[in-house]
Amino acid sequence: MAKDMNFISPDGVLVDVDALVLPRAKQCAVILASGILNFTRLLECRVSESGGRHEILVIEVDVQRPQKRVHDIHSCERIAVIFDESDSQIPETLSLREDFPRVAHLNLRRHEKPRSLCLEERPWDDMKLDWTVPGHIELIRSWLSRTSRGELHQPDQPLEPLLFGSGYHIVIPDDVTRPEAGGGQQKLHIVLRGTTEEGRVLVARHLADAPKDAGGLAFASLTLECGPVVHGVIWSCPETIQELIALVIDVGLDLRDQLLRGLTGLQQDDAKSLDSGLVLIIRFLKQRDVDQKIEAIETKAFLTFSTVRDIGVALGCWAIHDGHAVPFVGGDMPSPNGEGIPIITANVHHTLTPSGAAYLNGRDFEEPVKVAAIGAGALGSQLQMNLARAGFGQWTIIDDDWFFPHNIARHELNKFAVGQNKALGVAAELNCLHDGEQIASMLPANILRPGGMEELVSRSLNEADVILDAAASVPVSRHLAKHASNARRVSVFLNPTGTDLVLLAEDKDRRVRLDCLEMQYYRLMATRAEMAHHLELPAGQVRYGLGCRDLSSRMPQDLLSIHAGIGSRAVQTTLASNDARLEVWQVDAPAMTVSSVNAEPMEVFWQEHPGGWLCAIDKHVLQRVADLREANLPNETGGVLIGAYDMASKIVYVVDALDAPPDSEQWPTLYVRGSDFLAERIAKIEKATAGRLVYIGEWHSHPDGCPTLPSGDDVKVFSWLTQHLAVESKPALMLIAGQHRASRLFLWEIADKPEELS
Amino acid sequence: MPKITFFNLANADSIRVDLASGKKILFDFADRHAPDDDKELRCDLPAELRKDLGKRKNFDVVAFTHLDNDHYDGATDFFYFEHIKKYQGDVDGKPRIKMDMLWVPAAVITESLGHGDDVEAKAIQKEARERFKAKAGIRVFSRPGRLQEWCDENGVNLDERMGLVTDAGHVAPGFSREDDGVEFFVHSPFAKRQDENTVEDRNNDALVMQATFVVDDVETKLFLASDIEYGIIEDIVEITENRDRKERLEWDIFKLPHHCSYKALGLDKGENKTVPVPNVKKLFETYGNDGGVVVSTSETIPVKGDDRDNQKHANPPHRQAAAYYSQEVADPKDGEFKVTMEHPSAKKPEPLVIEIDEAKATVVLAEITGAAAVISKTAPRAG
Repeated sequence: MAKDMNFISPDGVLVDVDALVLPRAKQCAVILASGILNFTRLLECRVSESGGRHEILVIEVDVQRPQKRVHDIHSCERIAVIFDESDSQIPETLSLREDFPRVAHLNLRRHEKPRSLCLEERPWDDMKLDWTVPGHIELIRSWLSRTSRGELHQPDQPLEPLLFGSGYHIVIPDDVTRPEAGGGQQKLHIVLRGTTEEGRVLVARHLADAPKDAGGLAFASLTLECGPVVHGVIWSCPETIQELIALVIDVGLDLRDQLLRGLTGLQQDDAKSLDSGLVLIIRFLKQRDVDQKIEAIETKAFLTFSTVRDIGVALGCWAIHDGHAVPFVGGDMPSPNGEGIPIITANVHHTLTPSGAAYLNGRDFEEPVKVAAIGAGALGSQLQMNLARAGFGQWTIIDDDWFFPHNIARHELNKFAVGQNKALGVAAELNCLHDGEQIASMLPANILRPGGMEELVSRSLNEADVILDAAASVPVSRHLAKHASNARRVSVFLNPTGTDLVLLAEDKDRRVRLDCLEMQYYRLMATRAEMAHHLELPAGQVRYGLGCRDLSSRMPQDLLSIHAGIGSRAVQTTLASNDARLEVWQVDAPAMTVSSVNAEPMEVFWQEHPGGWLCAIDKHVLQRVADLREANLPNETGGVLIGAYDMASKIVYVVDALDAPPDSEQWPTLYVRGSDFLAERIAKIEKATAGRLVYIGEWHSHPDGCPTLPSGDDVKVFSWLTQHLAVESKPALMLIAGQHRASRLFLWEIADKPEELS
Repeated sequence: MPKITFFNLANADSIRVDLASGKKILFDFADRHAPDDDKELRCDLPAELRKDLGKRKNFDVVAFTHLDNDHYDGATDFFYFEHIKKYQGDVDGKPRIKMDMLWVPAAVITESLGHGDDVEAKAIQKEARERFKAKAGIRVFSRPGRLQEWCDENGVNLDERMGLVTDAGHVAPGFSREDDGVEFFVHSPFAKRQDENTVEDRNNDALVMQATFVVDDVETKLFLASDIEYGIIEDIVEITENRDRKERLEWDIFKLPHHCSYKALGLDKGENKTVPVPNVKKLFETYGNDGGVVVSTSETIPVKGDDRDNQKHANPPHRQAAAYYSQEVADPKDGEFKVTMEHPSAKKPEPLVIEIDEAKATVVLAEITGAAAVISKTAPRAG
């Protein structure tokens, strides 16, 4: 029951419910008057015409409150709800109780009482969509109920703002707002960038950085700090320096004193400063409660377009005689406090740094990774931009290609870059992201034929932590794989239709090299059903050569954008681990669902062989032949080997071993490889890999107790192979699988004994 | 979070205690709902209880504080009686609800029921007696000696059943602060009365308990006063103070005795406000904690001069007693005085729920309107 207590009388004159015209007020009054709500009663209706029509409902609400209360909320509270004709804001809700406590989530108004309840964070336009009378009443009751428990502001909720914005925004260089970075006093150049009915956006730079012909005004800035201030009560924006001085004195800032000192400094420093405006940047150190740590800092800017000269006068800093500021000396100093100097409160936006970008991307910021990025095409440019936006990387972009209008369809750059080198354009874009030091440089070079830039290209590869290859070119990848740089290689590219993204990433120690990962990727294509359509060509297009990375000229940007997104995330997660990675993401285009196909990268063995040949064979092949051998014991078995040649570098990559054709002869001491279906099987593999994997040689097993050395028959087979392959200058290759899962590989000629592999 | 629900049954009691551990205890049961009466404001207790039980088919404890029908009405149509076959089958196609444990004062076993007592009282008595004989599913609150005579007459060995009997001044076994976050202290029936009276008086031999709930080390105390009169309250205060157990008299939630009858306060109803006798005053005013909640399980409070108030021997609730509880008990503590048939409104009362947490007792004032109200109830029949 309501106790005897003093209530504040709201504005306006008493009227009947019938006299209400504002729809929400009327609806609310009618529902409350009907008595349908259990815990809310309508006491009176009022109308005020001051500053537009306001209809005020005085109501009484029963509050659910616990026995043990944190704040003195009564079981029944008297509230005024003020509906405004403009309906542009949530109806203001006032507690009419004279002794209503000062708690969190109150709006501070010009008059402290009646206290104004801050009911909702949601914008009113959003609330309007599902606004109902009972819903609004419940907001009030819930506010009171949770306040009585001291739970309105949850411990894990961020602190409340001290000041609501005024519609003004100002972007300020990061260092100006941080006193430790030399904030203090600065000279700024401020331009008005955006104007709408509701606000203005101002952009400040250091005066020294401002271009000569840029419009705008010179301002002196003063960065100050105050607090601690316990959050909860939301202040109204001060409108004069006088009001600001009064506001901050309670939170430990003698602003008048600081201004006097600051202005005197400015005057002595530079006479021109007297004609500039003034922006005060105040950092409010906020805490959740008294004696708790500083949990957040709210930075606000207070701008005045009055000149420093006039402000000085208004603060009693000096008087103006003949246009000169003459300081007051001795005892005749008056003490006005900035009356009549209007100020504008603006929300402060800091310029973005890479570490800020990392934070906003949910990443921990670390020392930037030095990236040599090869290829600034459609995928490359978007991938590089995604990563740079996340504050990732210190970049060298390498590409010799030009940017043409058709590139705009799927590229990070726009028409203003047409005719430029792509690397130049992308590096410039990257450098436009943040203030401060540049994050990108460029080399307009062809990585395969750098010409005069060879040294620069080599240096950038050598100095990089990571070489990010998005050139979509097998020769480039092979070239990078073999380069002397120690940087970890990561290669990303799309399949011809753009539905699949491929990521090949070396391990940190480069034990599985990029070219070997490429081979394992081909094996994935040859063996996995999900990869059946991987190399399909867009309708109407014909494959020429070994173009498994040929990009269609018609491919939707949305697919590229998806892959650039997956790719930039994958690059980050890959580099966070030391392991190699082979993964393909496939977009099922009609549904736009993404699935992934991957294989664990296998350890690779490199062996030098006669004739200057190198052989790379990975553990998968060795395991495969060992398994087949064991499965056929006591008989010998065998089959053909599948792989690839790098004729230029004289490398043979052994990628897979096929089992024995059905017409093979298998005896304990004899094996004759048949040929039934063999050509078809190999053709299938060649088709699946666009010819990247081919027949490269023979393998067979030896029984237990027999060394992995060629028998007389084996030597004959080898010379038969040599004879046939010599036409193509390809070396004969034979692998013998023996006991203890060990194998020996002979290449070019059977001379000395190569080491056994297992 | 423990929760106490006082059902709106007019001048009848049923109170459910839900523990954080999931255990459910029901104090009394009175199905007085008249389904065909358009003006019926009392809740449909069996329906409410079944809705809450969901798939569950039992209460951990059912206590009958005494054998007046406003404390057991309809029990034989709702509960499963272990020892009475005809009260075991389904009711309206629904299985009966089991009483895992029955709590009764000794009088339920010992009193001789006459012609005036209905079959339900007799059924509960039989169930209690059989359970006692079977040594299972029952706790009897009494000085053990009080049961001696009945045991002798019925050839029951009391010594073998001492473990089923709890005297006043003790905590009821089966619940602990540690495991259940609650303990039940027994105030009545107590020895002094049992020794003095020769004629049994149900109301004054009723089961009276103080439950102490513990949430995050914060205690919240519920005083369940059944239908006792002021003399018994005086004795309870005196005995408990003499034993130096004042904490057992403290309360945060008080279930008023006998539907807000003035007789719980003193002999004289008073013109506008009943003046309690000293020890009763002490229990309500001194032992009540700040912000405490006083609950009258009763009809709405009459207004001075209305038909109910004008009756010569008016039944409870009495407006004079209500004035005392509201003005002298609840208000000075900044607490609440709640009447079950007036909550949330006399027009449409609903069960009164009190939640208990580290901020102690909170009377739930949930406004359920619109769609939420539609989906919380069975829809009217459609054509």
